[in-house]
Amino acid sequence: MTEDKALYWLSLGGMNALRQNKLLEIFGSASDVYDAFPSEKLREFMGERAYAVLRRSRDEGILDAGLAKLEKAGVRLIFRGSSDYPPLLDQPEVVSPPVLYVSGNAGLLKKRAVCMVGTRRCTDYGKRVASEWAAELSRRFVIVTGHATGIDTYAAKSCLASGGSAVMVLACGIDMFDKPDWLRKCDPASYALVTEYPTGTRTAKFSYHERNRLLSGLTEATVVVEAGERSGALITADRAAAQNRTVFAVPGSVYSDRSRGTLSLLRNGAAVARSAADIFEDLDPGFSSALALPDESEPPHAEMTEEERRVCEFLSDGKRHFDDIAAMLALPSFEASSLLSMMELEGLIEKKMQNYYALLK
Amino acid sequence: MLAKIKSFGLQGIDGYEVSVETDINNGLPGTDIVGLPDTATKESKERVRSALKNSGFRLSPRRITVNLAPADTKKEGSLYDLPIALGILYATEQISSDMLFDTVFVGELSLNGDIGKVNGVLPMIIAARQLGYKRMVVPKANESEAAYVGGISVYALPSLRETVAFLSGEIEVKPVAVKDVYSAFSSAGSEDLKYVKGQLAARRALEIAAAGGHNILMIGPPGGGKTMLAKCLPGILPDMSPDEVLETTKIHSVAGVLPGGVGIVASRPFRAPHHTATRVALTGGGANARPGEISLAHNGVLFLDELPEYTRATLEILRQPLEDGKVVVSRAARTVEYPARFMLVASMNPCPCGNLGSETAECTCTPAQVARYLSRVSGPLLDRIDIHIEVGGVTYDELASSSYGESSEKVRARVNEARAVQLRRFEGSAAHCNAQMTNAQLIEFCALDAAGESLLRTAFGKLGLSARAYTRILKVARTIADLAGSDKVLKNHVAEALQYRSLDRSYWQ
Repeated sequence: MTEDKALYWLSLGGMNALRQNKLLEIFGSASDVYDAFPSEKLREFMGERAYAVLRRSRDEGILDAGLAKLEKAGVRLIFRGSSDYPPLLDQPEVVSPPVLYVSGNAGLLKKRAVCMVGTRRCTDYGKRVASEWAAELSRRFVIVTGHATGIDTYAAKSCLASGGSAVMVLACGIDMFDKPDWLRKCDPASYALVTEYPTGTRTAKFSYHERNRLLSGLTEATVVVEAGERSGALITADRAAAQNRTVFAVPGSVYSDRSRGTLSLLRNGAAVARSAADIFEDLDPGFSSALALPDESEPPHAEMTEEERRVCEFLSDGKRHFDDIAAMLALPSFEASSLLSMMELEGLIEKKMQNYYALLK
Repeated sequence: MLAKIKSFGLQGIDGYEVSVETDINNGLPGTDIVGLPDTATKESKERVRSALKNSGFRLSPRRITVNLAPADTKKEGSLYDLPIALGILYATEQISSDMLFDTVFVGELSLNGDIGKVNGVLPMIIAARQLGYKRMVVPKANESEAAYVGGISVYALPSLRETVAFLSGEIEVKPVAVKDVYSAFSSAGSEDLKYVKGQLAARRALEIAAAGGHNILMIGPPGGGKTMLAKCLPGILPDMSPDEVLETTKIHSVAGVLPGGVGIVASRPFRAPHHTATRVALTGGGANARPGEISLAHNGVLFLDELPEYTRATLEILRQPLEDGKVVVSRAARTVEYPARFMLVASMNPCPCGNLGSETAECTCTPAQVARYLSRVSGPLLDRIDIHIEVGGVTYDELASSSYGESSEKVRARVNEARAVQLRRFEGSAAHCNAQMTNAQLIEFCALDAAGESLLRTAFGKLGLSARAYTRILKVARTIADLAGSDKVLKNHVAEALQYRSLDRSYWQ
């Protein structure tokens, strides 16, 4: 019985990292826990369920089969203490998991990383910040994020689309995560999926909470893009602060309920991030934002018609309703409709919900 | 003496001849009605007996047998009271008249001998005329329905006593004067578009939908004016042809929901069944095989408010009628076919709380909730809806403004013109309007020039449109071209059509 195999066995019990660490502290090693079975004291400590699972799987044959299955599925196990274990995670404040399940490029875990998180119900504003900043930050950092819809997904998507690398930390077993289509299309070497939970674990409210400490733990700084009053991203920010990482918050409108969380972070002392450059400045002053995205401000679409130019000007300070645009142009609605369609196809504007139009940024 | 009086029954929305035969036999006094009568018809004998007595006639102390021929179809309702009473009077030799046997009688009797209202008089008059009858007696209360069918003299009489007097020539009764169907036309009852504030995009979409007969889905927050817009639609639909009026009136007559006094459905019907409506309520059927809401909306508008609130099973049954323009109701006893060519107008919120995408209120739904809400409307049903339009919230300034938009009348004039073009185009084929185009017609009439073709190609790549959007866009573009008076579908018509596929946009998915 190797120590690694014993650690793998211990992780199957479904005990949280805190408890597993406590056991390892008492017994000295996982193999010693393995050998101590069966024991009334352990049963008391672990609780009925974990004890039953561990007793059932306490068999080298079963464990070998499990490991072989993981290997076949392309899942790597990284044990604390091994040289592949991310050093940032190996700190007492993080409550580091003894075992990490990783699929994809495990090497990304040791690179410099920034965590981007936010609400699932993001606004257009949050979506834009997440997409643009993730692309920019990914030029220097690995982007670490969750797997929920909204900000997390936009950050990961945009980072991968612009050639960066992303790590997504799961709140479930690695086999329980259904890869979305856009992720399947990405190069497997450009991302990694990480979790501390054994295969077959479903997500639960508490598992998101536990997972959030790994998001901040894996990274040097946490950027909260957009968060409501009770968003899980605030827990991540909280963990980041407890782990002595920098917390950045992106300011939003004081009227938007999806900015309440980020604004209260700012009030409580989080660093203001006005652009990706602000984050670079704090984390890596050498890596100047002179490397900012190529300038695209060359006069686009010189062949715009007079009407198109007027629409663009009209939209320059925010989105406008169809009725207002038609009134501004003094055109009947059918002509305005077809004009806006053409402009949309030329890539000048985009249609938003409820007949609003905005300049395409 | 055997009496054979003519009456009519209803099969679907068409009348068929029923012979009411009455004979007097020896035996214990009593009345038997045979020929598959339902309960209302069986109870006829009690009403007839009292009505005869109270109208001053004798009752026969012998056995009366009434046969409703053909004897193998089910007879429903109380409309045979009058012919049975007349049959008994003839069989007991209390009346005799030449007119008795070449006149059609329908009517319910009350105990005092008055003739009461019955359903389905119009289809029966039409059927009687087709079979060559020259005279028909109907209840006074159904007089207004009779006014729009010529070629047959219809007498609307109030009581049994007067009917007998009329038959014997004691009193002179004038047949119901025939009115022109056009005289009854009105678009009253529907809202006028001029009171719709703002909503330019939605107004235009409604106009296109009306011009091409396209089904339309409106998506917007509560209070955005979706219902108001839908109610405007009948007012801008093309005028009904006399045939359409009669067909629609027939259905309403059979269902017994004709508006009182008018006797004819003169404006396009607008039916808005609640989302708790059962499948039978929509398709029709039940014990009496009554027409359902979709048939009552024939030649008009079926408005389904809050589309995702309808059960899936209810919505799925709309698919066949939307395709075929009719619904076949099969019951153990009979199979009835009702016409159901309606325009489907549906409305829905963008998300369960209704505020998604709103400028003024925050949406409190999670993306998963939104996705679940939208998925309640099935793809196959959406496939049959050509136009999706978002109806946004109206600002206070727009509401308070005193300027009116274009009136329904003006819009209808344009719609009528566009429809006339389509009628010429589809002459000799099954289609009436652009929405009903077959694939072959689509290729023939919606050919795009190079500019339009390349525009559509770009649109598919750029806007994330789905494949099913393709034919829809072409059909709608054809209607837009018709409204513009253009023979060809041009680039700007296609461009405008692209604006009416909201649900295909990637921001919904």
